Amino acid sequence: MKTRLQVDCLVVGGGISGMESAITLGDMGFDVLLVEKEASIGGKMILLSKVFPTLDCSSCISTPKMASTYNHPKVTSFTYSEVRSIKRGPNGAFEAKVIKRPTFVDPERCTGCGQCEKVCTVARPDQFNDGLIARRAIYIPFPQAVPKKAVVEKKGVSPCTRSCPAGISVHGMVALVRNGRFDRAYSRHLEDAPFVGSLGHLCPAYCEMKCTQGKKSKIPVGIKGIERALGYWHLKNGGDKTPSKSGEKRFGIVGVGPLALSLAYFLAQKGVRPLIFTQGKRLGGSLLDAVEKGLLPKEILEDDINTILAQGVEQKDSPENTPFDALLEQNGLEGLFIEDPVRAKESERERIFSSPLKLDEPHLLPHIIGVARKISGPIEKFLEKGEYSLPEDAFKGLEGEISIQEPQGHNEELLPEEAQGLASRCLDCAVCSQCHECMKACPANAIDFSMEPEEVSVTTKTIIIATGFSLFDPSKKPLLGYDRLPNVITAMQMDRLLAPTRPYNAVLRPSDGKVPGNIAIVLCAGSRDRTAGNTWCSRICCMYSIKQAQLIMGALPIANVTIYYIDIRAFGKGYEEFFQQAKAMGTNFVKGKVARIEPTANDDLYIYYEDMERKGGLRRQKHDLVVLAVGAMASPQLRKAFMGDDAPDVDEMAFFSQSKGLSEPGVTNIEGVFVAGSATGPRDIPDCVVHANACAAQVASYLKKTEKG
Amino acid sequence: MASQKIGVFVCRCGGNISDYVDVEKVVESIKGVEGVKIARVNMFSCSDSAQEEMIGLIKREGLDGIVIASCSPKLHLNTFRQMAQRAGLNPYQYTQVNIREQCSWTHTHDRDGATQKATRLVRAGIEATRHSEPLHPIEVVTRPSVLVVGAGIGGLRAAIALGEMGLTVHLLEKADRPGGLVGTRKALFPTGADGTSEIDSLLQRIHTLQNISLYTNASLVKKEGSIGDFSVSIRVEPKDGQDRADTIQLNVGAILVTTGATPYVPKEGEYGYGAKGIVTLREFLDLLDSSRDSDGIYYEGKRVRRITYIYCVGSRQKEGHTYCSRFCCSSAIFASLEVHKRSPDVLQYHLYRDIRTYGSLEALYQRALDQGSLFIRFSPDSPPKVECGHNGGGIKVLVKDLLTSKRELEISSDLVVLVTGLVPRVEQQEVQDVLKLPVGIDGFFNEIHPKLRPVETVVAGVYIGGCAQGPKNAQESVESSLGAAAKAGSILLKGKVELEPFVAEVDEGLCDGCGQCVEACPYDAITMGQRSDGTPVAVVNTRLCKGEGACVPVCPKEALEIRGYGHEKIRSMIRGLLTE
Amino acid sequence: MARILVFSTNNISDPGIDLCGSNHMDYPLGVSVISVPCSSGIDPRWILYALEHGFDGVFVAADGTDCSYLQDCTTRTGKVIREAQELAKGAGLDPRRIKMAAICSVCSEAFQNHMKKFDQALEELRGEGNED
Repeated sequence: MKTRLQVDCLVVGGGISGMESAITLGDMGFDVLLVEKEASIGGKMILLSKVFPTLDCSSCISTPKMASTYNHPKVTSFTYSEVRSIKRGPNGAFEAKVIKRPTFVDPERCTGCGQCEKVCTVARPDQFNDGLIARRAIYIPFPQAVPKKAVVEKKGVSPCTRSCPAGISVHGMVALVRNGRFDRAYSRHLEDAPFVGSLGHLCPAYCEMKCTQGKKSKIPVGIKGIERALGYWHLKNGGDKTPSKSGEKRFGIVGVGPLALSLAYFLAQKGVRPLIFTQGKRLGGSLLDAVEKGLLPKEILEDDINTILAQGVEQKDSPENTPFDALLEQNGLEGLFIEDPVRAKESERERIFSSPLKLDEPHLLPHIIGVARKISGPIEKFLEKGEYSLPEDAFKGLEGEISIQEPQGHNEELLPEEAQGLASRCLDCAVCSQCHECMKACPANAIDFSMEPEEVSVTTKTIIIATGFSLFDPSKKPLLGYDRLPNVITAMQMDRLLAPTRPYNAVLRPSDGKVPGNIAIVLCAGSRDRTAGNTWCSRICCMYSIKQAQLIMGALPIANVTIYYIDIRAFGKGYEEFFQQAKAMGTNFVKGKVARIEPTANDDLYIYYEDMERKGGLRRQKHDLVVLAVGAMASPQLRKAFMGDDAPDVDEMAFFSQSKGLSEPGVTNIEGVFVAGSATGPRDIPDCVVHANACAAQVASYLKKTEKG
Repeated sequence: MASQKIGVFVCRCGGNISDYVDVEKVVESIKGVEGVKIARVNMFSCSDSAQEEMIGLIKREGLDGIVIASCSPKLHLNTFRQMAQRAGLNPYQYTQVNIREQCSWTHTHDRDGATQKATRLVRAGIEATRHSEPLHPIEVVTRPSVLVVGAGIGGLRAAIALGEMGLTVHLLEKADRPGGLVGTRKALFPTGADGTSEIDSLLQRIHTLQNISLYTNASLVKKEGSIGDFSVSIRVEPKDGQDRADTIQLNVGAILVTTGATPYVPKEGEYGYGAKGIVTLREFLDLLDSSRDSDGIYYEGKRVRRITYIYCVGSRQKEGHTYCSRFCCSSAIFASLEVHKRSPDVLQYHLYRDIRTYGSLEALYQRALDQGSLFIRFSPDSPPKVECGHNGGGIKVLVKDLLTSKRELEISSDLVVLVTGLVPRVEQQEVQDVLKLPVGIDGFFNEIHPKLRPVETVVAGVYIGGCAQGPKNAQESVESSLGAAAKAGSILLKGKVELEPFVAEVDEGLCDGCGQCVEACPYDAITMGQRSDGTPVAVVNTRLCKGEGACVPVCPKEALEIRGYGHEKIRSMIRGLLTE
Repeated sequence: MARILVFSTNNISDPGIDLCGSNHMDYPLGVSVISVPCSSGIDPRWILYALEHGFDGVFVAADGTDCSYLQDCTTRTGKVIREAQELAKGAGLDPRRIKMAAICSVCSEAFQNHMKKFDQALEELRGEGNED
């Protein structure tokens, strides 16, 4: 779907700076489009606990701002969207392509109740808690989200699912089993295909050949085993046998093999009443041979066939040579399918369908099911509208000999717990598993997996880059131990632990959930440091660390907090006083450069630091939790969207440059392109808000000037 | 007129409510309640179809007020207000009752209890709608002109932005020429930009803009009116040949205060200040500026070979100037780089507490370190001592170095630079008095909220920018002044501002003119006026009122209420909540 | 079950109270909320009215330091509470039936605790009353 939009200013980024410039420009009467890549506006600020130097609650400041952005009559907000390309049009304005990523949740219907999250089978690190805990594949970003709507993280289709000839949502089945929901896994399988237990024994398991876990570790997820376990589970526990729909149109099927049975199954699902003519044979066809050969337990096959019959499939034993016309007439059928292609030749005429190939080999079972599914649609259509055709591609690839090894071995029974163990190795390649639990749980029927990306062509006179910054990745400084030591955390994680909407409801250290008593905050982690690739100071870390020290002492009155610093940079209004307050509260300030962090026996940590005062030299101190005050790094990805030579300049740290000198803040080297807030370099919140407004003034001047010509 | 034909819609929210609350029972029990014409259950009130259905009902049944009991108003208040408007109702005759977040989801274990509570909440909602008057946003017409007080770099730049936005600008400068602190500086950190030429080019731009008038030797002496429509008087001092000052009356829609700050001047004897060879940062920069072509550093004719900088003079004090002046570390280090450039053999000692070259300014510090400047850290408990030599002899600076175990170092110096910060200007007092702007404990003008509204003040329509709000460097002054210009633009460019209708209202029949509300109002929005018979009565300026209601509890006669939150409405809601 | 009237504020304490619901955090059923713009604008006479007409307690969920209208919001709201308590005393009601605490937009836990404690305290007060 494509739509067009014309605005005065396109603001890229819905953090505090983007919101502030958008509101100001909207108030001035300009039309603004704000594009945010996450599912909620609010940026990093809404995630913070309290903010310096007034210790007011970040959410209380952000939430009203988010609401006024979102509800502003002159501001349109696109969340979960990205700017794909920007190029200058003929009249000087920019043409931008904005992609609204599919959320797979109809925002008009979603009420933000969160029931989908409770049933979702896939866990992902929660980016809004800096990975401290997990969120689900379907998620509402955070409690104060604007808009408060769920989105599904879905990256295409998992390779296992894509490879399945039977069209089974393999990933969904695995994810449901991982969560111990065997009944749901079995019925989810049935939504796609019958013969759960038989497939678990006979399928060549193309899915395992494509499994990413298999490619990574040589051992794929044991999907076939999981499927087999489901078959045994159903054999023991039974399950829902009510027919899916009761139809009126009757359709006959001549044959007893898997193709006949599968087709009957799919037609029954579509509300047709299938009638199988067994003509003296037992239901099962070649699958009965598999039973003979010991490849498939008899009771498993019987259970699968009973499941198919339970869908409302009837069977009738008519003499083998009854003419097809007679079958049609005598039974009041609207059509007939002949499983055996040889017999089908007897009568080529309307209302009679058949397979061009003989498809009745046990190891072809998934293909046969796939064929049955593909032809069931046209048959349904024929019954409704009288159009007579079978899709040509239904049999594609099956004409010749299909060389598949006979299935062998590994046919022993698997217990549900064992299957759960196998399923737990799944990597959730496509994130959303397509288990469809959310669809069933959503009271508003809002889940819609048919959603596609929407491309919006935006014509805009100006652009504000408000894409903010990213936090330094501390694994780039291995000596600080972030990757190997669980009790070394980032400052963002500490802020989440301190926030009232925090994950564990307490300040705990990750390794053992113990309440820490002696906490270290290490400043300049990834700032003022050549080896980290960032020689600049990140501006915000001193102050947020001082804030955290005060909040920690409030939350854990007996805890000691030590801040290792090089210089304390409390330079803003009220900041020095805030620093002195932390000192007076008993925060221990140590001037020293931290060289490395090592573990002790009980998950405590030794900080080795170069003492820059007192005695000097390399010293060691023990702590039970270490917070790395990670710095602010550039996030210049938007540059790639600029086509031609029009990309705005960046400085040596890759932040967007304000190229026109000290009197022109927010102005880039590209006419009409402006930059606001921490996209220009690290800045704290007050400095961002002020700068975003300065940027809005620049944009307003520019727009008014160009208006005049 | 209050609503008498009310439609009540109770939402199931697809089970989110109806799983825990018997919504049919809620509807049954409020049928027949005074004012209720119809009551229905909706599956999803927010869905398009439900909205269309409700609009149809409102029109067909001639409803004059609605209550929707559903989720939190944070989610759908706007949705339903807009729906009410589409149906031809006043949006403020709609009440949203939160029976999801505040009922069904909090009382999941007691269906009967939750149902009863939901009924009580809906009854209160019905009372709220019954007592709702139609409200309309307050429209304030604004004059497209701005007064900018102070023509330093911030004021000049803000004036240009406002002028380019098409607004008329009156730019006031107290001194005889514009430019402020930056206008006298040749090299500004971090790039070495020439402050005088920067100011010159801004002035050129100002001259090309027809709608900007610059008044020098001028000051603000009077202000009346309120946001969107101020009338101000400015006094222009007599020029040569004139004997009387001019007073000019102007009408403006907004006022920007960009009056700046002034460098701290040490007390006589503070670190030896007053003696020869001991200068402030400003004096040192002047010295560098006045000798830009010279290849050495000369002080009173003598070549300078050793310079000692003492940081945080007049900043970060235990008492008085407790704040950090933000720009001085970078400025002093930048100056020391200039010294090195001219004369690499000069030994430079920096006695500091913390070096605050934040952000990209860190590069300056690194360069100074690389070039051999020595940085020695002292504790505020034992500040450096400056001993002046007799008869123009060398100066000795004694300092306890924290890095080398507090060993006392003796540094003989040819020049000692006291790195002085910024303090509020004395002249600021006039502006403060005229505009009634609050100042913080640091003496600078206070913003209303550092993050929500960093350039706005408690006086609506009056904005602050630059160092008047607190110490800043040149670019930061420009930023915050432009920020103030943006906020002024946001109320002036459309020619009108729409304010929320929830403002204080006086019942003249009840008001006895006691004046307590005038005292209580934090925004000076209430004044004492007169009735036609001459008796005093409170008058609310709706342009200034923010609707927080601080005046309501102080009125002994209940003559004041906030529209939409009236006494009778709240009391009947209380009764509604108590009706079983 | 004690009947508790909560005065809360549109921008600051309401979201905190709503968050209780979003997290399915239980608090006593007798709690009902009336929202106003700012806690400094709550009239002590409303509080008295609520007590006289059947509420067992009134709780003011104040803006505290997060108020966007007033820096001295806490002081002003505190004054409202004191006056309401005076009014209550004058009417022969126990001033302990009126309480206030700052509740910010994410203070769901704090609100839940306050409600549970207040509910309990009011039950105890009722018990005391009966002994007389």
